[in-house]
Amino acid sequence: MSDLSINESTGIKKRFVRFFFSQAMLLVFIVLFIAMSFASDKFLTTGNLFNIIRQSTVLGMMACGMTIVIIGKGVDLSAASILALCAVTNVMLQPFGYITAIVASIIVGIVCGLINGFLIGKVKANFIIVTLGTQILFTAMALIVSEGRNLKSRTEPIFSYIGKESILGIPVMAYFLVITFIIFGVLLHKTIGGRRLFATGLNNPAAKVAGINTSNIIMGSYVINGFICGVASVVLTSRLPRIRVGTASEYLFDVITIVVLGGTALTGGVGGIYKTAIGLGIFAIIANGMSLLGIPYEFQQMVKGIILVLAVLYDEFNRRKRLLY
Amino acid sequence: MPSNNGILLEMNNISKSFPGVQALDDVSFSLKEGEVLALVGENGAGKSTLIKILSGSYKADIGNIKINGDNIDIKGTKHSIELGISTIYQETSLVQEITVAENIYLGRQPTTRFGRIDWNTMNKNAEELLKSLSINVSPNVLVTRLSAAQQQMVEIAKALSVDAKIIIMDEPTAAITEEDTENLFNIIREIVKKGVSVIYISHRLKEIFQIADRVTVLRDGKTVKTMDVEESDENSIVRYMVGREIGNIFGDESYKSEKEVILEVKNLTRRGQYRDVSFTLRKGEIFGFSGLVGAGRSEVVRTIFGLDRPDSGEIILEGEKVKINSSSEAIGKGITFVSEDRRTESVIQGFSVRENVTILLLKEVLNKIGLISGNKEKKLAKKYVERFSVKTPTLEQLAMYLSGGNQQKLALAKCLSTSPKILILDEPTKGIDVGAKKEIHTLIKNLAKEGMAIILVSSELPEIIGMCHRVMVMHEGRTVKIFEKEELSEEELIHAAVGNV
Repeated sequence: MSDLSINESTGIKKRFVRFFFSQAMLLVFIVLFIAMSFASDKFLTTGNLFNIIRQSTVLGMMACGMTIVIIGKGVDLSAASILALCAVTNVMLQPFGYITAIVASIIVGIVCGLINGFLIGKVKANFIIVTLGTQILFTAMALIVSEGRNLKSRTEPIFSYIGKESILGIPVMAYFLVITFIIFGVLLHKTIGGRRLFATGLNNPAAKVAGINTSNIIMGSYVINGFICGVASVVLTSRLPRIRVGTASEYLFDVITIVVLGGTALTGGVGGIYKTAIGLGIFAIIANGMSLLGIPYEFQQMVKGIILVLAVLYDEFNRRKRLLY
Repeated sequence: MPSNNGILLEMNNISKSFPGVQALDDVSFSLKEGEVLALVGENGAGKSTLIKILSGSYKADIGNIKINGDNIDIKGTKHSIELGISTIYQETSLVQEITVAENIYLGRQPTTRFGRIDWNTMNKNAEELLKSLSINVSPNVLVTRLSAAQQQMVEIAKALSVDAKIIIMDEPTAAITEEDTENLFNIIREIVKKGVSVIYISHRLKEIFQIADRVTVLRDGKTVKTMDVEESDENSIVRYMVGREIGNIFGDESYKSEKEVILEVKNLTRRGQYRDVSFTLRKGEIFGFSGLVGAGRSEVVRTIFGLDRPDSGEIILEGEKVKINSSSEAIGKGITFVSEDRRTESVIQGFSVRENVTILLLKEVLNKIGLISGNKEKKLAKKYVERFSVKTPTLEQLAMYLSGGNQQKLALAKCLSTSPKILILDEPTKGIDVGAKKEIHTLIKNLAKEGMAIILVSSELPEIIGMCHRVMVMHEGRTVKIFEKEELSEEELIHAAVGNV
């Protein structure tokens, strides 16, 4: 009875339309890229492109972690606070050597993720309330530890190296970004755990029947997110000469925008790292473009807000399209 | 009004396609005033699509619809209702936490001068309406307290309250008892007398002979035949549905289970659900769980599969006392489970066919460095899809677009991919057409012959009697009796199910 040889009977036109929709965000990216090249002669310079990469690295790394959480049908509203706490830890421990500082900040990230993951995955508390609570908790801890000061962040030379130097003519930070995307892409799309995460995000009861320990999977997604926030904090301290808790906290909004803009669904189980990469690309070009064109900060924030709303509309549009047939 | 020989509705040359599937291909039928037209066909034959076009959820690619001889373009679900078409789905769309009267007049409650809901008028109107249909339900009661059958009846009343001329009923009897079915039929006969026309969809062919005037058979998206019920019989309808003779549904060759006990359950208790349930399961045996809906059958098997924990009692697997704390432990011990709920449990709707099949077998498709190999996965998925004859255009088709029968085969393929020792099936043929049902029955029997132990939970008595070696009947959470093959009869099982032995 089964006949796998039947090919989809849809015509070339329909296929084109479907390709167009499935790659809509890629097209947006390309159009924006071309448009910016014409709009500003500074845009297409090596210096500016590297600058975009430097500005995107922390965001991109965090967006990878957030993608995993969102695919598991959650959101981590405490991600930027974890980043802040890790960065503060890093800076405070730099007198004990950079290895201690880096390891400690990553451990702090993992512990934060464990707290979120335990409460959400095991206790089954609502993820919005939990991460809203830990957002305030982690931020407060970071403020207490740093005593609210601006901290000089690069006392160890390795951080200046990560932040300023290049390997083979490409900024060191770019390697962090690309390697994170590759590792997360593989983790999400090529491992058993990744597949189980998709199953859990799509349909928790069915995933359970399929023998998946969904509590562990969800807990794991928050732990991984905590971990990558820890690593991202190393990059953050490398990039900025001074760290202030407030700076880090602003990242949350951008990270969620990037993930949703890429097309990872807030309803869980649909999305991917490739999409997040495109989302990051679009977001980074818009942010950079607005700076190049000299648009005032308030208006930049306004545009970012509009982008998030549009991203949510796009998410809803995609959801309906999936339910259409 | 009736001008065209009493023909109320015509659907002519309707075609509709979805990516990869031609759901309807030149379908035509007509509905006379005051008749019950049965629409039958295997799952995937196109019934649902046709209904969705009529109720305004989908638009036909080609074809026209006429009501009272006028061409009609159904613009959406609301327009469809305005045209006098009401659809009653298997799962009711009533709001559970409000009263019957509120549901009937939802969104158009009568109001007092001050704009508040006029409860007295509303309840009185509802009561009159229900009485006129001999529906024995109080308008003040919350819908959640009604049985599935009573809810169907309230839906009918609701449809009539908006002057529906055409009522579409999609498997109304799927979840209700035989007695309630008779009541429902009486009400259908009542409304037909009032000139309302009914399109009746059911997999239970017997019902068609009780209630329908004519029957239209769909197969693979095409109308195969329309005939008067009086001039047809069950065999001929089945023949049109599947395009071939299928013979005795359950097969007749006798087969025996082995002596060796594989699973023993002793005094298993989970408070509020079931008490002191004990039974043994042998290799190669099909062990039936019978009883009314809510008797605790599903709860027992869910516990054995590790989805719930028992409060007390023992589970002895191959002579060893075990504690099964999770479904993954159960799968590791060789137990698999196909839930009765295809939509939410046995199949992951948003996964492709490939991803569904391989979810339990991912360890086998890893490459040397421990990552999922796309090629290996595809090959494995293809193997199982073909072995279990899952009908799908491609391996990448999302499970949600498959018909019920094919989803069930997909669920089976997934579960059997781990070569389990014990297979637990909860209502495996619920809402599935005859052809797929037969395939699944044959498959279950073959698995038992190969030595697999099978627990079959089923509400369908012919299925239980035709398939099982032994049958345990439960009533309100307790075991009533375990019947041997020779003792099985519908009467005995029904008596036991209602609690008198």
